[in-house]
Amino acid sequence: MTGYIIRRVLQSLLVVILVSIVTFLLTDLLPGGPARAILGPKATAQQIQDFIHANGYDRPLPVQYGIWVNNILHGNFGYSVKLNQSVGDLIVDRLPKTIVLMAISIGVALIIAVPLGIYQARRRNTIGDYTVTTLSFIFYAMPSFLLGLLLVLVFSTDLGWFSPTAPQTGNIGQILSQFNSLVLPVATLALITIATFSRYMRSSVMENLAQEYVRTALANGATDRRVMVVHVLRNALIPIATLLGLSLPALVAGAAITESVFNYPGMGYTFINEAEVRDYPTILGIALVISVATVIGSLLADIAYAALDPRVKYS
Amino acid sequence: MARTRLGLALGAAVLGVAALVTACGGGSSSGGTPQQGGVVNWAELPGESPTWIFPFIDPPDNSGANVAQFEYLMYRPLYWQASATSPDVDFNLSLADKPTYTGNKIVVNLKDYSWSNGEKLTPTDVLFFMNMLFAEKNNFSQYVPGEFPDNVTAVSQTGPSQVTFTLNGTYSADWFTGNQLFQITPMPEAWDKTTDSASAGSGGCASDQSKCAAVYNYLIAKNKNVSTYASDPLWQVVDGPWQLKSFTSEGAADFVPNQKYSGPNKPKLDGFNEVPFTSPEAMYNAEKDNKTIQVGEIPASNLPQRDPSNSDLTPPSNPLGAGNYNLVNDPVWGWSYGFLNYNNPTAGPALKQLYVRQALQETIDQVTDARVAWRGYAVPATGPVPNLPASEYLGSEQKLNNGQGPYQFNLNKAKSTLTGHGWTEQGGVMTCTNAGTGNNQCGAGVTAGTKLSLSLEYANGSTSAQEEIQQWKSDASQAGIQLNLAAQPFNTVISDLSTCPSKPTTCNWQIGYFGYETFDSVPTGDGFFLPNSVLNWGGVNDPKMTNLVNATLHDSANNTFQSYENYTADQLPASFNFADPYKVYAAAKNLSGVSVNVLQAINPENWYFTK
Repeated sequence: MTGYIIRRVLQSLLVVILVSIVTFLLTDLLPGGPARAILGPKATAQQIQDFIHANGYDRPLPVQYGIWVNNILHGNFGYSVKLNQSVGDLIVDRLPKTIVLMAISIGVALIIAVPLGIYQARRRNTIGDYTVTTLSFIFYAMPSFLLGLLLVLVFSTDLGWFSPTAPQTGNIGQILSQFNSLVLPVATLALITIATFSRYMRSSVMENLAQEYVRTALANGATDRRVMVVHVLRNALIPIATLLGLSLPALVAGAAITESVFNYPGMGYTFINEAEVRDYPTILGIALVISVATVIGSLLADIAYAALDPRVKYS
Repeated sequence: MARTRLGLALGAAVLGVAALVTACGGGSSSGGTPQQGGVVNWAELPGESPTWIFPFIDPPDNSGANVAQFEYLMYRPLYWQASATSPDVDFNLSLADKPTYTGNKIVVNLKDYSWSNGEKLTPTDVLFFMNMLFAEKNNFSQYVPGEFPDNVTAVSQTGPSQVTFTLNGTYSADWFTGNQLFQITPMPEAWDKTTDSASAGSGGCASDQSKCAAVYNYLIAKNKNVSTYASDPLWQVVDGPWQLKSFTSEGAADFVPNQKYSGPNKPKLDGFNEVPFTSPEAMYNAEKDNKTIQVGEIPASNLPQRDPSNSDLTPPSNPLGAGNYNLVNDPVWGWSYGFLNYNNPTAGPALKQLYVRQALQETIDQVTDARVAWRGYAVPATGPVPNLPASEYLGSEQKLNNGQGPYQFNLNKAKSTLTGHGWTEQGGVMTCTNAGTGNNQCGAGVTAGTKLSLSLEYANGSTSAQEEIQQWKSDASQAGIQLNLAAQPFNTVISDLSTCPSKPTTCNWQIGYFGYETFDSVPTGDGFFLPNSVLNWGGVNDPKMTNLVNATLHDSANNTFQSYENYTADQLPASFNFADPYKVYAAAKNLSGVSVNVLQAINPENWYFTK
């Protein structure tokens, strides 16, 4: 297993390097370059030239990439001229907020989706199953900005139950204590995730219920509850474990639209906003963090899969 | 169809524009019994939060969020531009009396202001800024080559509170005060150093330009540390009515009154907080919630449809509830215009013909745009001076045709103008069939077979602007002018358009439009129409225009400005005028004195809660 993990880590490293190169190339391909976008319409030719030179954009691309990598290796993610702060500080500031919101949302989704999937599988093709399936499809298909605004309209504007904005603080403790402000953004993200997770859970449980080991257990006199909890649930959770691993990138990348609707400037909102103004250092820094999270998530999913299913061999 | 639309346009213009020019911005009620205390939360515009505290602001960070709505609360400019109803300099809010102009000398007498650390505001503070500007002008956002401070040959202290500027010529007093001297923000002696532990003034920049680079580097390094904006003693030395109490990297700024503020209008509030927002939806939801925000702009998409012919700019109903908020109108001193690329090898020769530009302008139905695309919250523009707010700069040419300017919307006239100059409609597109330079021919450089099929690259950020462009395309096609639209992100548009002056051979845009540009106090054309103007991306090079623009910089006489303004409205040198939008703010019902000036500056020291 150790050898497998080492191999996967090395592969992951390669993926991160490739992603960084591709991101670097893509940002360079953006028409117009960053100078005019950042300095604005009234910047003089001299100011444009100074900016390009000061930021090294007049150097060959491989040289720029080399400098960026060297800086990253020394813990320097660059400097956002637009936001007037270092990209490292920016990430340190916004990443925890994003992780908190996304982790709570995924946690809530998991807590609801697993029993819901089991219920649907056991009551398949009943009105209850159809109802949950219909709702799942509705939430799955609904854009998050629409769902978010609808929730605000009903539960904040009309009923006045919850705050229309997410917690307005960078302090994790304060974020967690502002339950009233967390409800709607968490609900927006969780409802969409529940729809996905419950569908996976439903089909996974159904698939396991049809397996011979279930019939054998029942024939040996095991109760329905025991069969479900001891035998089926563990096997049915394997795809969910994979899904959770693959959710890691979302945990750090955030949800740009939901963050935007609920006034919660996390990683997703920052990435989109800075991409619009061609803030290259910020784009590259956040893209690097997300790519690292993606390969780690993928690695964890593979390891979890193998740990949960003894039939899977490390090779 | 065209006749009906024209009728509507005329009716609206007569009832609307003429009335609007006298009915512009206002503030929230100033009635009620004023109360001392209370905290106001102000909604920052989405995505536009302060990121820069040092008043010597660099080009990327020059924005209303950083300057007019953040730095000005703490560090006052020497001359305060504009008010809620006028772009003119407000000398009451300025740090100095109205300057005296004699030949190439300007004498500035400072008022009796003090910094919060007890020091007096002195000429040294002005010289400190000026020396830094001389030394670091390329790092200053307002710098335009040939203008301030290139037009200043010397600055010196000529009295205990007097500074004298010597210029390289004589200039218009209005222009120099409102567009040049306003750039000065006096800086305290406490900032003139190169290390935290150094004594105030030890940097030497106030007396020696050569020492300013080191001081600049020190201050810029401090400025980059946003987490210490509220705690660094340096930034706590202010001459404005507010001091920063807390600041987050997301741009949330909390202010408390400067207890030693020595200027007019002492704050009545206990605090003023600026709250950042990620989107118009989030801002509107917070306003609708009526718990956290006392003052904020209402996103245009949330305003009810307004009849633009109504002289009252206020929305017909209050989307946030009349019981919760008052509405405050805010006309913006600026201009929406399109760039024409005279250097484009295909379209350039046609665009150089005045009659083609006139025909294009006559296909823009601004009255309908104001009513439909902007839902009533815009005013037709008729030349280089905005119709709102009212100003002495609006000239006779722009007032023609009941306030619709010289080239009101008229598709039939646009068509006949073209056919009268050698163009024939072929397959729905006007084609030059009579090339030549005669009166009834297409004009110099326009070859036979040239089609009036023009590309229009525009910024896709505003739904209203996109509707406006689509409307123009539709109307222009009825006059035989084909507009080929290319929607691009704002930054792509400005990058594409701005490359032309330096790379004319690879420059292929024909008409460009990125939206709105604000003026300084005096709406002169030096930023647009001189051959080397920073925004002259289309290559305007008209000697008469150059002379007229330059005259406005050197002569304050109203008829000098009118000559420039009338000629520009008549010649349409680089622009087509789109309707100018204005803003509507919500102010809590029990909050009085709220207004936002036409250049977006705010004065929360004038705001107060009432019983």
